[in-house]
Amino acid sequence: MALIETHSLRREFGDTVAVDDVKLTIEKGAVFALVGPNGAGKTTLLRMIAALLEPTAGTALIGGFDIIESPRLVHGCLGYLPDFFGLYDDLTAREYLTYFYLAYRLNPDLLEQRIDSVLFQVGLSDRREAPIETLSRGMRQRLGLARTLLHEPQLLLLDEPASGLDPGARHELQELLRSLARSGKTIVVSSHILAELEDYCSHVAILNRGRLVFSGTVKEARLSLAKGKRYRLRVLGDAAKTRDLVLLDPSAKDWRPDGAEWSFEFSGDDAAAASLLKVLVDSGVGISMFCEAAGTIQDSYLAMLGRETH
Amino acid sequence: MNAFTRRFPEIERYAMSEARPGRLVTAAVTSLVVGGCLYASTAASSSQDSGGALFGAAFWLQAMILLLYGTSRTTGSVLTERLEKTWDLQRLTPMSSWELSIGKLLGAPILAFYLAALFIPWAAAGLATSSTLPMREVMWDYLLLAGTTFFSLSLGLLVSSHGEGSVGGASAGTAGALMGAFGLSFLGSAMTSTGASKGGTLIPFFGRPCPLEFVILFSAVFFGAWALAGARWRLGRELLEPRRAWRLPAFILSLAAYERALGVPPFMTLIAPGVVMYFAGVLDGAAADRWKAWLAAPPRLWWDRMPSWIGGAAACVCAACVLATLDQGPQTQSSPATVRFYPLILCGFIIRDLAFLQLCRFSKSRSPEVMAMIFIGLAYALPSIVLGAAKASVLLYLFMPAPSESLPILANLAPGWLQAAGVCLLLKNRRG
Repeated sequence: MALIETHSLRREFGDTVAVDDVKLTIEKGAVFALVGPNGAGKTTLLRMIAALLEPTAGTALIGGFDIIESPRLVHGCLGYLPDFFGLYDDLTAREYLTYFYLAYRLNPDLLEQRIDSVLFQVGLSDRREAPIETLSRGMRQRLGLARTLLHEPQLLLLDEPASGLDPGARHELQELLRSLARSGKTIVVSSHILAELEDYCSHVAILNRGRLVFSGTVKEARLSLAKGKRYRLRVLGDAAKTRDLVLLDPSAKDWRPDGAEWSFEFSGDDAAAASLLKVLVDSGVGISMFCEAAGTIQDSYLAMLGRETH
Repeated sequence: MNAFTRRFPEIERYAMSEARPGRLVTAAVTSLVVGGCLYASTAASSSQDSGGALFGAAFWLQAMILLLYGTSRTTGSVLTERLEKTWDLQRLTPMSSWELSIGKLLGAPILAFYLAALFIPWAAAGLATSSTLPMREVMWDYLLLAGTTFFSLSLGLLVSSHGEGSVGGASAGTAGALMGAFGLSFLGSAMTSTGASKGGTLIPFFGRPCPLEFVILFSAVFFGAWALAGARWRLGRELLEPRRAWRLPAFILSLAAYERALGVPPFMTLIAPGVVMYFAGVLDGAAADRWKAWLAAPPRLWWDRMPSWIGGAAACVCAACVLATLDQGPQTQSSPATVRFYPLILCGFIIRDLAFLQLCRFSKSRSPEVMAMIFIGLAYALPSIVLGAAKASVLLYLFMPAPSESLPILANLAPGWLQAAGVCLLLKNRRG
């Protein structure tokens, strides 16, 4: 069941088209990575989905509510963490959450219980009475996340939540997002670094210059973005002869040095790779290593952005 | 926390943030010291009525706290949220524009209210020991202070709600202090007038003689309520609530009615609403994409998305038509037709200017409003200078609402309305 459906969303700022004709469907329970370089339109798209910014054209349905017709109902079914946001620094963590608890019109009798629960969820139970100004950046980010969880929304929109965090805080945040994903929340998380999302996201959409260039599961993304695997080999003997033998195979191309080794793109399957290796061994050229290059989805994504840009 | 602050969580937040026990105790001790100094100085003065002097000192101290500090707090309220990037988070909550407006109006100056309340005992002591202060005058003083405070705080909130995120905290503070100073001078002149009249001055209001104090109080509450409604309208627009397009037209009509109630002649009545329209046109910020979205909107969203200046201009035209039917009185020696239809002539030029302002928003200028205002200023100044120098002032009616009495009324009406129609036609085609 689709929780988010965008219909040709478009947003202009003067002459600049920030988001152009984006059609996107996000299923309930998905952990959706929205990736793209800076200025790709991720924040604008998220703000439109959050019904904070009116589209110039098109619309979106969030949990069945139209962002143009019923923006206030849309607000009720999501939690949004902007890329840059303020906390009321002169309040304590508990006071901050108390304010938003009241603002969300939740049952006052359950206030303390709910605040304790979300603080525990984000690992800030011991900082309950700490003034916000004393919290580290990672803690502030987690307090912001606690705010989004207060009214138990089914959808979380997180705009670059790991931005500016040190590796330790990033890891903690990733663990937190994993646990939220396990609890069944639908999460849309944006980043310009795909690598840090790929191990816990189920789906991925790639934006570039306002346009959606890919949308699908992470597995589909790997297949779609990879466009053929690369193989690396270490040649002990005649490299030129090895190259000629490799490029005789119609599935192989783009032979090039890779440090002290060599690599080439290969579009055949594993059996074809085994056949090629046999040819090389039988021909007598010295091969001490032959393996699939461990390129990540991030490499493929960067390569794809390069293709898009040029 | 109580039912009221649960209804308006903003008040609870401001209370948690600003009314901390340490701060409250410090403020109480400070007020004791200041009040003691006031008492000592008034007791030691040569004044015959030291109680009255103490009351006056405490009263004006309260007025300064409420109007200067309180107004600067409401002026900073929304601006600070934008600056600190907390505004979007508030927009996501179910709080309505009404709850946010009241929350900020009463919450942001919460410390000012507390400080002012601390001086009530000193004012009461002055009143109790005064031999000359009439209770009626004291009551009116406080009513005027309450009315002026409401007006000033609402005005601060109105400015704050229309401010952009790029406005710095210092600018907000300056704007707040200026508005507070305006409120203070308004209160001063109101109290001077009412004090001089000693309750005996009656002025015609809606055709009936009314005490001056009442008219001033009514005016403060009337404009305060409209300022609050304007702030709420703007906050509601950002919350993507239905836009209540009737609000600006209603204000324009009620302002015209208010002027008429004070006896302003019909032909001059539309000048103040016209000035308001320029402010509204600039502040509305109906950018080019909003204009295009309005033109492209389906009929059910047409009213909701309409730039507010169009509704205001329509209200001006309605008011002008009504004013043209009224008895113009003996205030002028000009030709009766020119005087009668002057509001309609004025409307043509107002609509031309506002449509031109909208057209400028399609330019590449980063400040289209400033550019438009400069051009509009030149559109009035240049003909005056050139035609004045050429001794052809009789042609001024072509460029500004300065009707020529020797011409028929249609000839006087035509220039403004034709120019307005021309600019509106250009705008109509701006569909993107």
